[in-house]
Amino acid sequence: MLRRGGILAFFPLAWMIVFFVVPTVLVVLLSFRKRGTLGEILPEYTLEHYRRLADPLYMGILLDSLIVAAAVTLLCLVLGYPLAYHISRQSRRRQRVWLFLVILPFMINFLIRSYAWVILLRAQGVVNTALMKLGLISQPLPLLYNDGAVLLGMVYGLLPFMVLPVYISLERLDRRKLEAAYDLGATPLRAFRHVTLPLTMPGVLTGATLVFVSSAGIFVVPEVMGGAQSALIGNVIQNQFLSARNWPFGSAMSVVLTLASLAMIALMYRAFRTAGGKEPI
Amino acid sequence: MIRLESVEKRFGDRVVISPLSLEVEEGEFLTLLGPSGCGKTTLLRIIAGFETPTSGEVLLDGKPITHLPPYRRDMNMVFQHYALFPHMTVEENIRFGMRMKKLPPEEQNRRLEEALAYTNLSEYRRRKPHELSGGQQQRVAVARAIVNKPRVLLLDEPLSALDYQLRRKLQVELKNLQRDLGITFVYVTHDQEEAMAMSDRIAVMNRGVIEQVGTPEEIYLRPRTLFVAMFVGENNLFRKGGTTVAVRPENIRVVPESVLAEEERARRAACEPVAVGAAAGASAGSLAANGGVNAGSVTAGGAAVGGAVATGANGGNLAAGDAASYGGEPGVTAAAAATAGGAFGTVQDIVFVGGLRKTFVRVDADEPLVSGVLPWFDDSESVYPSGRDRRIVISCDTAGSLPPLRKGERVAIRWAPEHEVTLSC
Repeated sequence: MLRRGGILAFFPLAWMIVFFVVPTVLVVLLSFRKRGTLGEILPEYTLEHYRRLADPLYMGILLDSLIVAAAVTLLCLVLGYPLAYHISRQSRRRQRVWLFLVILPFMINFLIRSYAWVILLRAQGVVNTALMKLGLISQPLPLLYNDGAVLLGMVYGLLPFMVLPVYISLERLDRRKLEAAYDLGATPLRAFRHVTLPLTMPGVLTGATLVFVSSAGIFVVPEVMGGAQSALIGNVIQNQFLSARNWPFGSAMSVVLTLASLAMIALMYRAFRTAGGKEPI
Repeated sequence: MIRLESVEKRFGDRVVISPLSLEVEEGEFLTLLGPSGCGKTTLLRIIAGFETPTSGEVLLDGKPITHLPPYRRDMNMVFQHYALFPHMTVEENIRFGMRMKKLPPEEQNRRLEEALAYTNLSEYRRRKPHELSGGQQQRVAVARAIVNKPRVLLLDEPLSALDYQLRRKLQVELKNLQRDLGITFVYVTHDQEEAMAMSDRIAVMNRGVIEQVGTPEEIYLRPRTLFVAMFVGENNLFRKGGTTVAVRPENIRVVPESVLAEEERARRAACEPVAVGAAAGASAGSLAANGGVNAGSVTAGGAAVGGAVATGANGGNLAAGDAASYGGEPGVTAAAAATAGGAFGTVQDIVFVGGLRKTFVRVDADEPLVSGVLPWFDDSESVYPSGRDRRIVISCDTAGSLPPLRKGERVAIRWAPEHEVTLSC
C-alpha cells in the first residue's frame, strides 16, 4: 500500500486512521456498552440500545430521515445538473466566476446561513413583509418551521456538493463524443440522453453520495428551520450526546444510520451498474 | 456533389479560412492536405456541420445545407481520435446511428452484421472500446460511420494515431473500402505520402487557402506554387532571373569533377567533327546551345538524360540565354543550353533509402542559384528535415547506377530544362 509515493501517502493515511478509523471503532464499541443511571459508561456489554432502536418511534424517524435525504438528493440533482451544465458551457473566465459563486456560501458558517433563512422566511421576515406590503397576501405565509423549510434549507446548503462533481465530469467530457452523436443523427436531446448523461454519471453518483450522506445526518437545518415535529435522526443523535447524556444509545443510532446510508448508496450504485454505466471510482 | 462557394471562416479577427471554393465530385476520394493550422480540419468541420462558415455557402447536390445541423446531414465522419462511445460495446457503437434514425430492428441487425463482417470485428462485438487496440478502434469508427450508408464519408486524420506499419495497411483498406462502396470520401491529412497514395484528387491547403487542386500526379509533377512544391515530396529551389524554379531530387544529376573531365574528353573526341564543322571559334570559348545539348547526349553513356554539360576548351565562360554561367573551375564549365541549370559544390552527405541514393550537396557560396528554404517551413517537421539550409541541394537516384560518390568530393550538379517547374509564390 505504501509502495509508490509511500511518504506522501503516509501522512494522509495516518490522519485517516487517527481521526476517522479510531473514532468509528470507538463509536461502534460504545454502542454495545451499558449506560449507568447518571450517564456514565459501564464496562459491560449489552444489546439493549439496539433493541430500544427497534421501537417504531425511532424506526419512523430513521425512515423519515432517509426519505428526506433521498428527496434532498433528487432536488439537488434536478437543480444542480442544469447549473453545472450551464457553467461547463461558459468560457474559461466565466466558468471561474461561476464556480466562485457556487463556493462563496461556504465562506460563511452554515449555522449563520440557516439563521439568514429564518430572517427571510419567518412571519415578520423579509419575504412575508414584502408580500404583504405589495398587497399580495393579507396573512403571513407559513414559510418556516415546517418540512418544506427543512427541505429548502438542506437543498440550499448541499447544492454545491452536487454541482462541483457534476461540473467536473461535464468538463472532462470529450466534446468530440457529443459531436460524434450529432454526426450519427442524434438530436441534441437524444445526444444528451444517450451520451452526455451516461458519461457524466460518475459525477452524478459522487454528488449524490455526498449530498445523501450529508443530509441524512444533518441536524442544524431541522433544528433552526424545522417545526416541533420535524426532528430527524440527526437531531435525535445530537440530543442523545448533548442533552440526554446517553452516549451508548446515540452511538447505536449512529451505527444504524451509517449502515442504512451505506445500504442506500449500494442500492444506487447497483441500479447504475445494471443500467450499464461506468463506476465513478 | 458537394460544392463550397466562397466559404470563409473567421474566429474573432483571426482568419482561419479565406474565402475559397471547392467542388467535390460524386464518388471521388478527395484529400485536403496541409500542415497543422492550415484550416483543413475547419473546412471538414464546415462540411460536416460542426462549424458554420462566417460567409459563403455549402451545397449538397445543389441544395444549400450551410445552416443544417450535423444530425440532418446525410454524411458521416470518422473522427481523429475516433470519438467512440466508451460506455457502449462495439456493437452498440455501430448500431448508434441506426438507432437514432429509428431503422427497423431487422434492417439494423442486417447492416450491423454486414459492417462487423466487413471490418473483421465480429469477435469483438461485445467489447468496450478501451478493450481494443488502436487499429481495431479505428475500424469500429469506420464501421460506425459506413453502416449508415452516408452519401459522403468525412475522415479527419483517421490514421494519425497509428504506427507506420499499420497506417500503410489501413490506407490500402480504406482505399479499397471507398472503391467497394462507391462513397464519396473527403479525407483530411497532413501526411503527403498518405495523400499521394490514396487520393483521386488532392487539395493542398496552406494558411486558410487552397493552393492547388489536382491529381497526385499533377501535384507532384506540376506544383504551381512554392508551397506545394515544398510540401509535397522533396524539392530543390533555385532562383532564376527573378523567378523561382523547382527541380525534384530525382532530376538532379550529381557528377564528380573527375568524371566531368572524362566526359569532356569523350565529348571533344566525339564532337570535334561537329565543332569543326560548326565553328572554328570553339577553342575560343564559345559554344552554341545546340552544340552543348549534342555533347550531353553523346557522352551520356548510361547517365541521366539531358544533363547538359559542356566545357569550354580554355576554361572560358559559356553562357546561353537566361542560364547562369560558371567560371573559375579550370577546364570545367557548365553551360546550359536554353534554360538548363547547374552548379558546383561539395558532397555533404550520402544516405541510402531503400534502393535510392540521396546525395546532399553543399553548393559553393558564390553560386548565384540558391536552393531556398522559406522561413515559414523552418519549424515544420513534416516539410523539412531539421538543419536543412538553403545551400543544400538534394539529389536522388537509383543506388548503384551512377558513379560512386564520396563525402567531401567536389561535384557538379546538373539538370535538364524540362525538369524545371516555374513557381509562383
